[in-house]
Amino acid sequence: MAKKLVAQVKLQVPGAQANPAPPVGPALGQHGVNIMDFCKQFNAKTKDTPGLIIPVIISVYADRSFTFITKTPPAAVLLTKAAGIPKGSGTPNKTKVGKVTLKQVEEIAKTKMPDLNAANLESAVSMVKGTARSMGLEVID
Amino acid sequence: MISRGEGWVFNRNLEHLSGRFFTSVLAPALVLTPEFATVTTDRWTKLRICAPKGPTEAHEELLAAFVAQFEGCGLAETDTHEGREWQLYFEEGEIPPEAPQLLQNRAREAGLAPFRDITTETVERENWHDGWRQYFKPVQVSRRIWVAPPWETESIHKVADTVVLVIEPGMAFGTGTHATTQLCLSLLETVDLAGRSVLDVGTGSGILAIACIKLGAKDVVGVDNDPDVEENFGDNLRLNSVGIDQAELQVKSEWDETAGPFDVIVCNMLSREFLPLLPKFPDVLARNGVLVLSGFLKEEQPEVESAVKVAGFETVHHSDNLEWAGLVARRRHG
Repeated sequence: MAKKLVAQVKLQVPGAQANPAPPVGPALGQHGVNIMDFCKQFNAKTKDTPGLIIPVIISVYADRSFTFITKTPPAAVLLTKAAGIPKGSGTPNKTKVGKVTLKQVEEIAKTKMPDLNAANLESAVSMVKGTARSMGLEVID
Repeated sequence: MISRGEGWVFNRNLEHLSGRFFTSVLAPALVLTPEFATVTTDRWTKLRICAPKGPTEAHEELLAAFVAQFEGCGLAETDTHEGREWQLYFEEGEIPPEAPQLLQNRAREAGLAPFRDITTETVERENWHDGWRQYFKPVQVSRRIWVAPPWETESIHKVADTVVLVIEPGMAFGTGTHATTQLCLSLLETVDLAGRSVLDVGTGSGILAIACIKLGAKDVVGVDNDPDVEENFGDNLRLNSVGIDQAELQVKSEWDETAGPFDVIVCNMLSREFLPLLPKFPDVLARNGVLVLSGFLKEEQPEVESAVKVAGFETVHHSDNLEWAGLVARRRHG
């Protein structure tokens, strides 16, 4: 039965750690979604990447039922983790704030492939390199 | 501070949850699986960020990286008539007061257009968790039948023959609120089900199978081609105190000889799904057996009624709800 879509909610939440607090609670509560049910399903689906920020798009239907799709974590999030940028460092400035290895960049490009508009791994790598540079990260061999 | 695997302590009104929730949802969280993260704060800092005209994915990446770096709770994206807006959430005290400036610096250094506006506010804990419940009230779908969420069954004014179907809302399956489900329920009420055996084709959440039992049917076999319905079907039986000896689920990808004959067949599916099955229904239906059919559009009614006739049935009653239609037919003699 084709159901009537009433809202699409876009969130980014740490994997396996969704709870009814913000942003999930306010964003889904206002659309009448069973928050507990969403958290349970989301956490089950992202159990392999705990703590990594995962984009998720939730479709809410007229009868308040929902479906959702998850994407791979943003490249910038994976790069932040790989570079080990310390929490709260007030950077970047003109100076480089951290380093990532080419190998790490390739790993990230592989992870991101399903969501990148990249023809092959090579162009995915150069996209991730670009993101790294814009964040003030140096890519080393 | 967010930690995992310690169960559900956010909702202070645990006693409002039914026992079923405790066993099937909460209990596993208390053991090993980190199904829920624990919320141990009452106040959050929210950064409300208005995107520049034509926001780019790079803006979004920058914000996500910021949330990751400061171990934030996450972010939400909203498109308003004034453009895109993001809400970033952190536990109170986790980000420095100069965070807005920091974000603008990062945008500039990454060569991106500056954010239009960034404001900071404090968010206090609310009972978001129960907020959704207000949307679910008992619905009277026919003279006798009500559909209600588990926490509302007491609020229904019941008379002697009232039937209450208890459905946990929010699941991705039939919740009893769709027009064709309601249509099918009201048609079932017109059929004498006392002591009858029923076949529910495309049973899904099992709501129709449960209704049949509560309307007096002896037993029901629900068939479905989707293995994912199993958990939902079982949950709904338990919620409604219907025994597995009364309602049985069979998952099968192809129609085959289901042990019959049944006194009644109920089928709530789209016409393209049930039309190929119609000719097979008489094989598993008793003489004088009844067919309750729904899920087709009003405009499809002539086509469906003629297919029903060709299959050996005589339509005795039909009804509609919004753009949907349904009918009750009897198997012809001979």
